[in-house]
Amino acid sequence: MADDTTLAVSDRTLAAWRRLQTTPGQPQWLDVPVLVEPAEEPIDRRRIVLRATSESGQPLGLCAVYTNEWYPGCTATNPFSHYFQVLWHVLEARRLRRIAEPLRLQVLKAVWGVFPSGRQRAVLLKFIVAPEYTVTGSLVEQLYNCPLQVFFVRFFGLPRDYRERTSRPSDVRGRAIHAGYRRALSTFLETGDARRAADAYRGGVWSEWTRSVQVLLALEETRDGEAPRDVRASFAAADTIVEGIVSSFASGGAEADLYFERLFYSATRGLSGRADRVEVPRQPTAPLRVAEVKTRSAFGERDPFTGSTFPGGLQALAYRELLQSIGFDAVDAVVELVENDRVTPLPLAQHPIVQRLRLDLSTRDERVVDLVAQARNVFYCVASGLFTGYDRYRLDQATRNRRLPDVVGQFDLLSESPPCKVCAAGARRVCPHDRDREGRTLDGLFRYAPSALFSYWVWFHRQLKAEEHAERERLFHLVHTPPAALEREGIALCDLRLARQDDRFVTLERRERRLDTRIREEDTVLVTPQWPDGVLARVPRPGELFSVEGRVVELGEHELVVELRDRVPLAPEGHDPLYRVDQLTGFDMRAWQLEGLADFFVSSMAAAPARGRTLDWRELPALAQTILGLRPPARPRTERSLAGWLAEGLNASQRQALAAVLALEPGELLLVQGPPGTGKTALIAAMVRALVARALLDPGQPPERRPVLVLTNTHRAANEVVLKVAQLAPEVLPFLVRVGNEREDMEAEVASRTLPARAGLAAQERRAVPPDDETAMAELLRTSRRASVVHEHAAVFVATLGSADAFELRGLTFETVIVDEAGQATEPACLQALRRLPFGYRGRLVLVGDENQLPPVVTALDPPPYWDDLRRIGIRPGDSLRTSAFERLHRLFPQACIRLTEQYRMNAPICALVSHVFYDDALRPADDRVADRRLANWLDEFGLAPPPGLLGQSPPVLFLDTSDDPLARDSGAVFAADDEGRANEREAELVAQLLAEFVRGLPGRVHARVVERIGVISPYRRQNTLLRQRLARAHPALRDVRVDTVDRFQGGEREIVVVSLVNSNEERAIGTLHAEWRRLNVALSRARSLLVVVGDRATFTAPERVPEEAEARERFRRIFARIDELAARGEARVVSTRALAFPGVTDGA
Amino acid sequence: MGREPLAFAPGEVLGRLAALGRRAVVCVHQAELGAPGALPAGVLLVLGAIGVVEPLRQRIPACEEHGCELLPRCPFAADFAHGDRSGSRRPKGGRKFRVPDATLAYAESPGRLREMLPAHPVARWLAERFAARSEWTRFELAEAWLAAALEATGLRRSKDSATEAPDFEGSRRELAACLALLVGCGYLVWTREDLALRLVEPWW
Repeated sequence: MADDTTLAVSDRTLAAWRRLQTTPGQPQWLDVPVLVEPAEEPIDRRRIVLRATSESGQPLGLCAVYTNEWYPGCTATNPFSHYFQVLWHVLEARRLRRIAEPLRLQVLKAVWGVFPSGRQRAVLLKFIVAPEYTVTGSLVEQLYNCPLQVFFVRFFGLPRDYRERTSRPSDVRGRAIHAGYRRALSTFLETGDARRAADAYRGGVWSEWTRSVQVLLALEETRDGEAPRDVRASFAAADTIVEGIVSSFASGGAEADLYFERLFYSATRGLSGRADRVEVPRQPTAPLRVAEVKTRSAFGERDPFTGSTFPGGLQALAYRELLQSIGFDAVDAVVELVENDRVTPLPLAQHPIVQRLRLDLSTRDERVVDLVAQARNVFYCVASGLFTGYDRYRLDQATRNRRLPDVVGQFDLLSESPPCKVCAAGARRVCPHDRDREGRTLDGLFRYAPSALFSYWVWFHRQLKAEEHAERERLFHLVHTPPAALEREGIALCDLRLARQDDRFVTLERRERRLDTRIREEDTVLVTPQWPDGVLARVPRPGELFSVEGRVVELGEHELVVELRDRVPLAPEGHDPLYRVDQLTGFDMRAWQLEGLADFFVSSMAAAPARGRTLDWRELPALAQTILGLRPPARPRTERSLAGWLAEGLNASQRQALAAVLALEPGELLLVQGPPGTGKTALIAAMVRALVARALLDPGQPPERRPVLVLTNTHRAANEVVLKVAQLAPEVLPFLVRVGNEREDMEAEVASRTLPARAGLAAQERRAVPPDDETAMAELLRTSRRASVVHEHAAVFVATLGSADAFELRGLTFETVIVDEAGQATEPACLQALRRLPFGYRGRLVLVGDENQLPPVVTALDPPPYWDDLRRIGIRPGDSLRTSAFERLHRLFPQACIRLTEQYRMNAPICALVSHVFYDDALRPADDRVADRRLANWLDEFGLAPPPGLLGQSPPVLFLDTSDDPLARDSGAVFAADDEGRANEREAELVAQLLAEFVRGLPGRVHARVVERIGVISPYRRQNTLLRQRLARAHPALRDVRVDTVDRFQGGEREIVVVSLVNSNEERAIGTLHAEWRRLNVALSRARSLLVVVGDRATFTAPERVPEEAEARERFRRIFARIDELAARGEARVVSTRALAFPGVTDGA
Repeated sequence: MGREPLAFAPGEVLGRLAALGRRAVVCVHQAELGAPGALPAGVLLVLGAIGVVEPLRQRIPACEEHGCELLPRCPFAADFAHGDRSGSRRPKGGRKFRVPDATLAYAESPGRLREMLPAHPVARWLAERFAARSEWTRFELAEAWLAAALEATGLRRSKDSATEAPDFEGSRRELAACLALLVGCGYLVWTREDLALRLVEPWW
């Protein structure tokens, strides 16, 4: 479908160009995509000549862009035009970065210019630069309010400093009223009943007040013990709000379909939006209405007559333009301002921004396009770093003029009241234009930074920006790629049927085909109807109004459950109710990592003793110097003996690590390497207990300083920490808070540790709205008091790295911050931990991880060009965002690391294999019970002896070598994009027969319990699909064996693990997945009693084809050599598969 | 545990205060910033409540006025600065204390603190606990303290229940200080490798 779209677009481009040529000298509205490259270098400051092609590669010849939209024969230029400046900066930055691929422009308006010399050439007048880069409506509005804020907050990534307690924002009451208004309106339109609408309003207000932890912690009752005015006012506003609804929507009958917080997207404008409400009329000729609700009016466009300030004007204009560009010709937009306990609607035509510019909204006024395009294009140029690059001088120079005239141009229609009060750059004293704050700003932020700090920032910032870029292009990719291709990429699931839908959750299923995908639980997705033309107002494509955003909460073999922002549309009678689900990574996925990086930069500079001159790295806080790799951390001090009650249950290496943690001084760092199965989480629980015990009765502890914060890379890991604390240190639980609200995937024990639950307002109770306002307010106050007490007494908080600035943590700093899974977190993500240390990083940092297991997951793999200064801070050529802080610091300072050496999972032979290849032979079983663990011991639990056959009678390591098996060649990479489409039929068959023979030797009553302890691992998704089919065919019980990729198996374990290596070919190619050797470590180290490896030794031990796979090859050689040694001792067995057959096992047995 | 077990003997406390001199001003942040000999904030709060030091709530001097040596590196100095230089909205009251003349006299007879301490509300609260059971771990005491605080929120719930105001106030650092002083006075002793406190002699 989308291939056709692309072709049609290209055809349109050629047609538009031909049309242009037929009317020389007359500007025309084109709205077509064009790919351009500079035809001259260096690029002239007054004229840009471009070589243009259509998207299908058809040459369009040369074209030009001039300043102020000049073209030969024009009667007047546009002195306020931004198009030339933005394009110049973008092209220049791309030239400096040696970006070779052409730049996409959505050419809106152009003219066929006839020059006095007689030369003819297309002149581009108005265009969207790089429309594949999606900018949201709220960001467009942000640029309009203050371009410099975009530079500081959206490019640099500067966050507020949440070490300081922040006061409650003034818009909470507005938010509550908004939530009530939304529910009341929806109910009234559905039922026409004002009383029910009022009830719905109260439910919305109650829900908003109670769902916010921020509110729970900040409600201040009156002296009489009454609810504060804000709360009372929001409940009391019910009548006014409902009256307003009744008068605006007099009939109450549903004349329009209401969509709340729907994502809508225009691939030609590079804009997306999530308006609070879109009303799609059922009558085809009626205009679509989009409403943007604002709860804050402190800044925005000022009405010159009334003095009132109205925000949201440009955002509403952008939404209108966006919707028109995707085919909704008639669009009404309205800004609704929640103010003084009522909702004041302001139609866009009356908005001060429209009045000031005298825009004509009854026609397609090009000035609206100019205004929207300016904000969007300038945002792209500034936020993606194309405006300044990473030149220190240019970066500082950019901050000199709030309006960034170099890129915005002379067009001064920007907000008169910049949002300084809420801007992080003002609060952090880095913005020279914030007049409200006293004290010296951090002048020359970039110029005066030590070169190591600047290089560190640039290295990670460029990569995060590349990741963000890829994420912002995701919607464009989804719209322009056929669904089947997206499904092969693993980022979409098609042909799903709606199984169930309730208020928040939808279950989608596909019984006939397994959901084989890279979409994971926690991912943000779009659910879109897959209905033919004519069912909805337009054929739905992802992100174009009829999609609903959600979060995957459960992903099974044939169904997935998504928590949604709104209900998905139901198919009308007679239509097949099919839906597709597309992975939408979310533009803000990297935002918090950028924030961590910027915070590190600014906090380090702010803690230095000098201002106004270049700083030496020795003037930065000690911990910052260590992070920069310039100051070695102290050697772990492990000599101090631990009290018996602290050391209880810990092995020797865990005790050492705990002693070292307790001996840390402020500003120090400790690394703890935890190989597989070594009890990292148990150690963290012991650390938590000891640190809490030490600080619990400390009379010197300030209230805003807490003993310990545990940050993890995933929610699952955070939950495991809580569960481990509950198991091993239950005395700590009263002082533990799991940050965030309860979630469906939380265990009950974990959910009960969230602040709302501890305050007595668990999710269940929040759903029940109290019978009247007074009861509701009293309940709210009671909960708030309890929440405050629990919060005051909390000594340990457990959160994910991404929620390190959650409301529960604001205003708090920690004596010790522990980062779990530090080897899986990108370095900027890890910097979140520093945001919670006291000023000057006078706290302790403990990183627990293992760089020999899977590295951080990132999308953009190519790092920026390397420069020599990086070597000084321990970044090596070949490093990237996938190199975690743990890995880099461990490499730099091996003496600062304690390695846990006793593991509780693998028996002695398996441990010997893993330890030898990945841990310098340092890893050993924790005790004899672990060392002697065998298949026979495990089966003995069922009262059984190992069955006859290859697997049942195998020593702990079994290697099925396919080197000389001509049938065992792989399929080659079918889907080249990510090398995941490789399979090996023979290996799949061998695995299936091996396991079938084993299961057949056991009585049926134990099959279910046995197979749930077997795991089959392959790095290739295609091989896993094949394995599942073969297993199911070989024996019915084997349907329940978990078959998965290595990445999804990390953290898990099984009694029997079968690893299918797959690659076996004449070229001896091992592929990029195996080149990441840490994947192999994870795969092998999942096994407890028996490890089976199926693969082609010859392929994996052949000389490397590219340098990147040298280390992996070497480790494979060591693996096979070690297996031979184990075999010589009778602890392993090597079997050639050439003549291998499994008697008695047939398909369907 | 990495830190010394907490105990403040009356002689040591009063001696430290006396060493500061007549009408000296002390601040809750001094110990936090590592000033040698400074008393932890919790101890100052407890001593303030029983009249050994005088909490300053009005005309609180700026840090320069009492010659605080930590001024160059103190992040809280702006809280106490006067006029335009004050850039903070944090309340100043209850964070600085003056050493009254009477305290200098107490330094001669440390037993006086032993007599005054039981009057503190936290000491009274602790008395109830140790009267019921003679040994408490750190965790148990802190948990009981939390439970009492939660219970107090319920008592304050009714708006016409002024008379129901609970006999529970204070922060955990005051609890910690009170315990350290009770240990120093010899009423309690740390036991089980500093995990627990055991009653030696009732103070009630």
